[in-house]
Amino acid sequence: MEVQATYLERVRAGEWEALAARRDKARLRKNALSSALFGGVGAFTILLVFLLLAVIVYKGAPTISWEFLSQPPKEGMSAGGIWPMIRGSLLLMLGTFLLATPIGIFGGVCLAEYGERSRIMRLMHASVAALAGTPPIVYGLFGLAIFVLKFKLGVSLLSGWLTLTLFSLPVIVLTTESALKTVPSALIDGGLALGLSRWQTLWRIALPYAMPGIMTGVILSLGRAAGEATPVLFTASIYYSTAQLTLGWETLRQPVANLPYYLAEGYRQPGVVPDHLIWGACLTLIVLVLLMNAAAILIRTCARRRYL
Amino acid sequence: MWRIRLLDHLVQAATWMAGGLLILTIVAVFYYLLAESRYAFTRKFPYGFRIALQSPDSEYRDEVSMDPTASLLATHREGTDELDDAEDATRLPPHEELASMQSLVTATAQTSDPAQLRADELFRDCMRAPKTAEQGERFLLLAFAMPSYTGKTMELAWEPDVAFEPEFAPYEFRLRLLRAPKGISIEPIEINLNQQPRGRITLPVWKAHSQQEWLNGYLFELEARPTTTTTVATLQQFFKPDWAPTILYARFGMLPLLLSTLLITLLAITFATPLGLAAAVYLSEQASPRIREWFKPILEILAAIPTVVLGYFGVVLVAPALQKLFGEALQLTSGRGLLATALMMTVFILPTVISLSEDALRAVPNSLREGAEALGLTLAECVRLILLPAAKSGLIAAVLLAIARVMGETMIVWILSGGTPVMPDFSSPSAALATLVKPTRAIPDTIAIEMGNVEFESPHYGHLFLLGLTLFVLTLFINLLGFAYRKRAQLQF
Amino acid sequence: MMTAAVATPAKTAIRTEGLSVSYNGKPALKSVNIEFYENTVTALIGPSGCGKSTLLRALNRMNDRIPDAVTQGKVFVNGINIYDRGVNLTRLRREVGMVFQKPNPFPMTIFENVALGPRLHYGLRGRALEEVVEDALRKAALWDEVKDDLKKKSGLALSGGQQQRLCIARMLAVQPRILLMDEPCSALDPISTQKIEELIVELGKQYTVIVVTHNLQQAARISQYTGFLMYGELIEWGETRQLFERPQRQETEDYIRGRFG
Repeated sequence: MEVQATYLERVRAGEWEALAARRDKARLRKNALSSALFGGVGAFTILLVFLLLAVIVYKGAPTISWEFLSQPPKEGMSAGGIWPMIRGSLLLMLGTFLLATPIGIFGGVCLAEYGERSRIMRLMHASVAALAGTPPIVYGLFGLAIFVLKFKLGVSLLSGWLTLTLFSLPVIVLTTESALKTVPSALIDGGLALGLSRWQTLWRIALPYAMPGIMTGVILSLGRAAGEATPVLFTASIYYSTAQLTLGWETLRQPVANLPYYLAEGYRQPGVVPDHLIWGACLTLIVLVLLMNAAAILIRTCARRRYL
Repeated sequence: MWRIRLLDHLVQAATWMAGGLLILTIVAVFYYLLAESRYAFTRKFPYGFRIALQSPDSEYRDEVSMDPTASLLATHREGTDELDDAEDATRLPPHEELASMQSLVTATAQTSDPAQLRADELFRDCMRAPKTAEQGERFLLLAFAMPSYTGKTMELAWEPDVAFEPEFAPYEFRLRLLRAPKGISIEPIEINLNQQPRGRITLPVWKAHSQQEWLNGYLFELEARPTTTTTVATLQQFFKPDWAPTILYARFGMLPLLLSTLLITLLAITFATPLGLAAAVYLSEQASPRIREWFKPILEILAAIPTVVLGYFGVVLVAPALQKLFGEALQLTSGRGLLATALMMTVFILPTVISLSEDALRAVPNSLREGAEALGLTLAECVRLILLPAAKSGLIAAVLLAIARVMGETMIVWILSGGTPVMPDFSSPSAALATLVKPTRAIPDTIAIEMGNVEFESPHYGHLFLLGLTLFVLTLFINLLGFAYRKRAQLQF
Repeated sequence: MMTAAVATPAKTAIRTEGLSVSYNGKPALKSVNIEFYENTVTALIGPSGCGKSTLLRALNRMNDRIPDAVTQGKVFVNGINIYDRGVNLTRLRREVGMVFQKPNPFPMTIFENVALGPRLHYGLRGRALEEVVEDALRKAALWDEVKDDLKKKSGLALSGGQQQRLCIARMLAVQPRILLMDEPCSALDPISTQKIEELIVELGKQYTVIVVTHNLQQAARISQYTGFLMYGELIEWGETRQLFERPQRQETEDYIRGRFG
């Protein structure tokens, strides 16, 4: 070296380690402290989940019985079961599933296939991102304005389906897109090399490969939609329902009771529904949503085994 | 072959339609929220003052009220055109109009005995007629004392009607003396009621000995001069600090709702970001793959708990604790309020923050971690100096997404906010504490609760859509910003 | 053409004793005994997957990062077994620097990249820090190219060869005695490769340098000692010239003559 740094001259080789050793203890202590902190927060999160689940099971479990699940409310909602609400939630979920899944998958294919080459695709990407973060209450207002009032569908199951479809669509689109992006390009090239057309490749090779990921996304977003009261608040919900199993075309035009709305209204009108029924309904709703999640996790695990 | 090609085209068309629907949806959401908001601009702006003539030593000194021995008569004229450039002289109404006031008084007050005339009620009833902002109004007041009046002077006193606040009306209110009775010399009187919404002025006594003489009394004019158009006035009102849509003098100032939403969001994000980041760091840097495999589904369970249920948890777990802590100091009837809401919002948003932050951290290439470790950095130093800065864009995107979700979350605020719109007050520590712990009301729960009882296509309905539009535009902006940051994070490595 | 002069064997910097590493139960390194001398360049060669990178990473315990890696045996660095309990890893990494196959500068300025280590380890600041950074950049033969926008330009904005030299400077700034290099030229173009090779020869005069390479000519050009690994076993090691000209084992000869690998 032509230029000798003056500081380096002053610090002889042996002094470096002494300099560092003085700092080591504090650094390692700091590291241990923050590691413990990170782990502690992680553990806290897990504890939180179990605490919440424990509370709900403790409060709700005594209410759960076959009668509670299968009977309509009685005596001005102060007794009886919550079957109409369960039925309503299931109906809402079913219709949303049938409507949102195909549209969502096609939308995801659109995003994944065309990338971001043109301005309109970039706009589409931005729209999906924005819609995915749009609050459910805004979907509720939109559903009220367009489906209930403009299209004159009224407060009905149909309006609820359409609103919930729009609500869960962006999430399905995004998961479909990211699932399609994980398809190895070798598979696509293989398909094209076999002489399949671009869309046949998509249909026969890419989609089946990505399907577990897509279904996971669909189920998770449906679970979210099923637990969310807000989009159906003004579009599909009634509070008091004693409806049994009468299904027909007119059901589409009638409002439905559903679990989240039952809970929301039950809170707003205190004293109408006794506490134990509320907690029973809470537990039922959570179980319903978690069953969906379990299905999603199952699909994911099975798919991982199949492909890896 | 043609069949395959046809199928190809069909699939392609369906794809494009689905993609188009997404763009259409966002445009339609914006359009319809805006379209329904138009009903907000059909609102009227009622106002009301109580004005009375009374004796200075009247027992009703503390409030404006009627004195049976002094009387005021009033009439009003619609329209603004003649108000604008009128000279004082031409302001004097024609004699016929004044004469008609007698019949008007009797007709409105439904009494033939002037001694029992309740001047204050008369006025309030006259003035609260709803109006659009463009319409102005002008009242004439005749003031005189009955022969039986014993006071040395008399007082004209005024105050805003109960629940009426002049700053919430888009008018300039003026009270002016047009004419004094013959033989009484008095300084000209002109008072701006916006600046002086309550007050009294002393007048020399003037008695009317017969009904014909009433017309010769003090002649005052109360003028409501429009200051702006209905559209501007509606928007101005929208950003004022009072939300009381169902009272007589309805107020649609959403500022307390907006501030409460922002405050809840701020608190929840302040709690959730460090917690979420720490858990994400643990998950992506420290936890073994086995723990991670367990952690993820548990996190998903937390994310899947319906927000209604989270609200109930808040009622059972958080609110009682807060009430125990602050109940005595602040006389709380329940622990529901801003802090309780923000705490449950933290629980609500934590899984989102954790998993998005973890994604952002995992996107940082492993080679940087190896480089840092080979350099002798401790894990904490590596996280602080290398990983967090490198993952910055992704982390910002995660926080922005969380902000948007907290802002729009409805059921938790519905159940836990307490439902009272109040302006946050941080002027003193005790006021700040009260603001944080006491009940509040945010934008989403206001929409959810009030939409249930509102008359469709009324101004109130329109204002709820205006609130929704505000929320939508705010979250749209934040979401797009988050989208841009996520893009940047993707391009970074 | 540079020729690496064979120095008389100096003091031992690193010695391994029965070093074995397995991933997920699969052995990647089987009972390796080797020594690395001070102020010399040692090259590790062998077909890909033979365990040469594993051996290198075992020398400063980088294998700890890999969850399923199990290490057995001993590695003495300056006489201390680094796999003993209670070994200060921070101190070990101060002693033993490492450069990776793909350049991995941190996403910060050139100065910050180099200053990070000395600042954390030695608490240097201000003028002293700048001197150490300059010294390290000069030793890495990068100073003249970057001195003008040291604090403006991001480390990521440099070319591949410059990035790798920046990583070397970053390592040198921590003042290690032993340098580990894991195929430092494999991701670079020929001109950058030549520069790095010159640099390694230069560094070999002051440091204990251990280079993993799959390029036999490179090993011959820059190293005084060479170890040959195959299937996780150290087949043979010794002076480079001797290993290349008179290999003791058939496998070595086959590999060097290009019969496989």
